[in-house]
Amino acid sequence: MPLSVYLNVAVGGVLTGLVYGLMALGLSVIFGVVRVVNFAHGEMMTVAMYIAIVTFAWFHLDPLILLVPIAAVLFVFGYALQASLINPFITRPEHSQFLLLVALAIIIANTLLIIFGPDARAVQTAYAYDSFQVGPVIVDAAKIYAGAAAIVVTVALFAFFRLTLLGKAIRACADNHTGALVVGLDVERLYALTFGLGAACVGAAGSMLVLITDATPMVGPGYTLLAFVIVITGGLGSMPGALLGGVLIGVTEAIAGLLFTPSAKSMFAFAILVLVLLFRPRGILGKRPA
Amino acid sequence: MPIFEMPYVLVGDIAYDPATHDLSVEVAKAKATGAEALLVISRLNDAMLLTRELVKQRWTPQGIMSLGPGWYEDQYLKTLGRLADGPISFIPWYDPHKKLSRMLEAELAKTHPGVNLNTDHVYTFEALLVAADAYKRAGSSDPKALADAIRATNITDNASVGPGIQFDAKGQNDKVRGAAVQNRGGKLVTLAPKQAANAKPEWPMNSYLGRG
Amino acid sequence: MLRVENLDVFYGDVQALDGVSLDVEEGAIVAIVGANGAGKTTLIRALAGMQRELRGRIVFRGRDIAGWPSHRVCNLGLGQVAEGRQVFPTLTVAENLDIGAMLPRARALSARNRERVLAMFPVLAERSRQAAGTLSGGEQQMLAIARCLMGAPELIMFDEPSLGLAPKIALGMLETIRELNGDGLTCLLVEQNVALSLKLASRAYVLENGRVTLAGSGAELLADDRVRSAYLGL
Ligand SMILES: Nc1ncnc2c1ncn2[C@@H]1O[C@H](COP(=O)(O)OP(=O)(O)O)[C@@H](O)[C@H]1O
Ligand SMILES: [Mg+2]
Repeated sequence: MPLSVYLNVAVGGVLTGLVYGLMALGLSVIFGVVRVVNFAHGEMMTVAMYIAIVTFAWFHLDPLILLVPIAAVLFVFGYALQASLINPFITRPEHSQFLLLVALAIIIANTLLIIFGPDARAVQTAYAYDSFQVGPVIVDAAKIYAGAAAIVVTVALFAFFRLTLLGKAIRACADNHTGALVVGLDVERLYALTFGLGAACVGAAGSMLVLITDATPMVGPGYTLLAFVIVITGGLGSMPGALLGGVLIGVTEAIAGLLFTPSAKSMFAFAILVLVLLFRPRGILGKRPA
Repeated sequence: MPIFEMPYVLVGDIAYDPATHDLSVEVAKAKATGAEALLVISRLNDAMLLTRELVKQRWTPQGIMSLGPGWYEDQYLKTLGRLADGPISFIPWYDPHKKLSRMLEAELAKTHPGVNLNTDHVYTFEALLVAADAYKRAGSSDPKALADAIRATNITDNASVGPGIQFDAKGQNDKVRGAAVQNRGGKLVTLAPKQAANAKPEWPMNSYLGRG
Repeated sequence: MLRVENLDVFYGDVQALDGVSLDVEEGAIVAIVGANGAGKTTLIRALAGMQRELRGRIVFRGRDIAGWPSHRVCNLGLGQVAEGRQVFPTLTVAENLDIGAMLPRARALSARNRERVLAMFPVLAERSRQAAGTLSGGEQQMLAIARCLMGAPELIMFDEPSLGLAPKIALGMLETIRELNGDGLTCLLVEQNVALSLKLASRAYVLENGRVTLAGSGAELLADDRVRSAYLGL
């Protein structure tokens, strides 16, 4: 096969991987701070995808513009969810948290199923069929926009955590929960804020993902699993790790699909996961536990 | 895979997950084989994904030949618009020259404008036709008499491609012929078999570039 | 300034404090003395709103704060330098101080307070960009105190501030507490060095198995035989 084919496929994998990375970033932020594993992560992204699809159908608003309002809607959803349902579960055993979030996932998926039916839906943007040609490489326009937006959102989130007082306070909660209570941080509110931010990442990722792929109400669990694989590969709690993990998984799947058979590509993503767990259990950019 | 004496070379076969949401790698791989034509077995969803990728990756094979559903369905034509033109589906179909077919087309256009007549409609109609015909000949609703009448069915004035409806010992209508149907201008034209054809194949198909 | 009446605190079915009553007057240093496991940390956590399974009254600056969440308690001016320092290890020293000043009551005073604590602990100014986890134990204790001061408290509860520090540094820590008290800050002190803390304290309580068994001025308790044999090894 000519080299340009590999290049094409790899570039596509990187761009898709960036969007996956943004989705996984949401999971990583939530777990890193609140210490709750969001088993409804994929379903929350499905909600974002359907919001994008419906708003596009009604108002013909581009998903890239919708990214901000959809992230805001998911933020409010995540905030309310943490404040009302999850905060009381913080001190409960992990299996009750698991049941709570799985129940939520099932409710979301079936609500979507009732409203939208089982068929796949997509948006048809003006650039849905566009691609750019750079030398021998042809890149899908939608993927470029989505990948670029993923980077912008990640950088913004990173800046929020590094530069703002509120971001530092959230990091403080993650660093030392007791310490946060000692200095009088309102930890429950910060947890709600964090869950909101994680959900906003998912919202942004979902509204970009509809540019790349279509949605059915039942895609959630697949994305939740993908987010786990990415977060564990990249390093739990590491923001650059989530993005790197996303890109790595995206490229691996794409190249494996090219070299072997496309239907086995997720096998290779899991192979990476196993290798990372064997040789670097804390993930590529994960920090050694203190 | 059985070997047929065909003047064609299969340059590759690519399997994919039917529930997939991204077929970019699959299409890149197919394009890289340099194949002249694409033989597909898919459903509606992946048919649309494949078409989208063919357009984005700027590859128009000489022909796309589908051996199943997806590519001729109304949803495909409606969603893809001008990008839907070109693929040829090899499927059971109706003979557009037959009187009943023309009546069905006209009736459907009146009651459901914008819906193309397809095999699902035609088979449903012919099933009713068989039942009504059998009832008329049996002269009663006695199950045995009805079953015997159905076995003796011989309808020549039907809609499907082929000589008509008769059932063999196994209850199969083995006289039905397959057809080749091509998407052209948002409509479906029949290319084969000869007696049912109402258009010549467009081959190679028009390039996806510049169709927008 | 702080009055505790009949405080019972529970860990599930286990009662850790039983009818504890005490008084902290404005401007005083009050010491709590007791063996390991007597309930000193539990008392401080309960007062701080971090242990909320409780009965009884906790009146601080005229408000009954029993059952309040910790952030509201802190914002009323009841600060804490907790057992084990509890700094934020991956945040820089400067960021730790920023967090301390996030209480609504302290935000406007943040610049002035920072100047004050950095003058008090110059080493923190030198290390302001260093991650708090890389500081020595003594420096971390200074950071914990400085961070608490950033919240502009009126009363600080110290839980074992000299634990695990070299003797000289431990003495310095107690000296710091005396200075802070000299500047008008009220202090509640739990300290393993019983002799020193009783010397500092104007009033002291002995806690045994969750109950107050003895109370008096620091000097009285220093002279008490039971205290001398149980806590001073004399
Ligand atoms: N989280 C907890 N759960 C159950 N029991 C606890 C917990 N923390 C402390 N205790 C118990 O409460 C009692 C008082 O402990 P603590 O307040 O830490 O004592 P001190 O600070 O005086 O050493 C001890 O018996 C201890 O075992
Ligand atoms: Mg203690």
